[in-house]
Amino acid sequence: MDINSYISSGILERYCAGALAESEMREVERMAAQFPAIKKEIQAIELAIWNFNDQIFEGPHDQLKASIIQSIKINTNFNSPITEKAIPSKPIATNFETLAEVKVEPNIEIKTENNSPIQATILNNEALTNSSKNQKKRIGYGIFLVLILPILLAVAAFNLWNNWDSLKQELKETKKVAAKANSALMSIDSNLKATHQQLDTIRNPDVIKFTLSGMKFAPNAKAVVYWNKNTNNILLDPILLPLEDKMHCYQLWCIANGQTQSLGTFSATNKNKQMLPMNGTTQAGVFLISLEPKNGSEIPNISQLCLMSK
Amino acid sequence: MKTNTSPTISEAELIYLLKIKDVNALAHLYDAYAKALYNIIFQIIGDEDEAEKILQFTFFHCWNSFYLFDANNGFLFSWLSIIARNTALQHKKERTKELSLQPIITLAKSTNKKLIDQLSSQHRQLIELFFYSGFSLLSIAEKLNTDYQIVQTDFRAAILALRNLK
Repeated sequence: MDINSYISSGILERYCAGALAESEMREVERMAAQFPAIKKEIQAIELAIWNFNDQIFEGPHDQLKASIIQSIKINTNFNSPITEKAIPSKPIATNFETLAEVKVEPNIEIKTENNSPIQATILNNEALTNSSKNQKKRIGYGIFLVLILPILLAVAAFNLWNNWDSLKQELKETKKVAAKANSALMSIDSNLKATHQQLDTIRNPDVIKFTLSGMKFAPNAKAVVYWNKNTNNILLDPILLPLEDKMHCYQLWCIANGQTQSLGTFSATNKNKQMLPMNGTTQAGVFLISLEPKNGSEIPNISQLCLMSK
Repeated sequence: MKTNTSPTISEAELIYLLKIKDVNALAHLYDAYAKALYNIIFQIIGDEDEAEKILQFTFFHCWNSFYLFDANNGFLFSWLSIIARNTALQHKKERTKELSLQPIITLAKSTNKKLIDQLSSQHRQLIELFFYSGFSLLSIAEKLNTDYQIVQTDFRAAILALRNLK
């Protein structure tokens, strides 16, 4: 293999730009794993593309970082109950009723001791007298209104402010709930995409399925290994495995042509029961899963063999 | 890249934190890649609000699907930028129904003229068509009525030009 020709072919630039088909990408990754010069070249191209895009515009606004991190954290703990609840503040009772009951005493009292001609005229002119009384009454009401209006306005303003504050709280809580719902939706969408990717992988006609059955150490355990004979990729579906303790982990093995090869370690504490990509193998024979010390072992511990393919 | 922007954590450590779903990884991931990813999305979409939503989705997708990232073979920024670009292009396609030869935000509108001026017009056009308009190299060859091999060679030259930017 002429590494320089491979590098100058342009395939590495197309790899970094995402312009290759899936099989070509896997091929480049295999080459990169095999030849450090290729890996170094890819890193340099990746750095150039990143550096260019990092500098052409100003980027997002500063608050977005906290918003994204918070959304993901909420999403991660989404199953925890919502402890805060929007409780609208109880409106404070107004003093309207009390105010309505205020009686206005006339502050002008006209006393008569005798019927003077003028007074007689006034008394004879009932309409005029009534009109004068009405006018005084109106003045009284006017004074009352002038005095009471600022109080009424103050009470109304306070009540309005109180309701506005309550609505503000409700809006805040509603926004929180909406953010959580939005996070859940994004999570579902993302999980769905991941599931589709897995489905596409196992539907591939090049993929061979190996069903692993429980051994004496874990008789009820079940798992399936999907092996792509062309790309050599392995996908492990740990359907049912007893939870391991902190000192141990599970390890997947492949035995082919008398050679035992470790395909990596994993944990059964896989929350979403997702399939796990393991190390690839060029030849598939028998697959084993054993319980091993935390960082895995060089050879499988037969006394703690959990599963084996038929 | 990651190692250049955050002195506190290496890319290998970041990948490890993401694999074990340690939320502390998010701030490092954001510091290292958010700006570049946002700028890619923004050029494709041309709308700040939409670009932020797609960036948020990219981080969600990364967080939830990181088990699919093979640290032995894959390259983190390439993986993230492909997710961001494909999501933005899909969004643009749904909105505009067809791809246009002209990206919504051209490189000429960049806030870093000094950087852009170092690229030839041919390289700018190739970068815009591929990265921000969503054309494959084959489609670019057809649209520009050029040989596919020539487009491939020119594309490599354009990326080399990016490597030589000062």
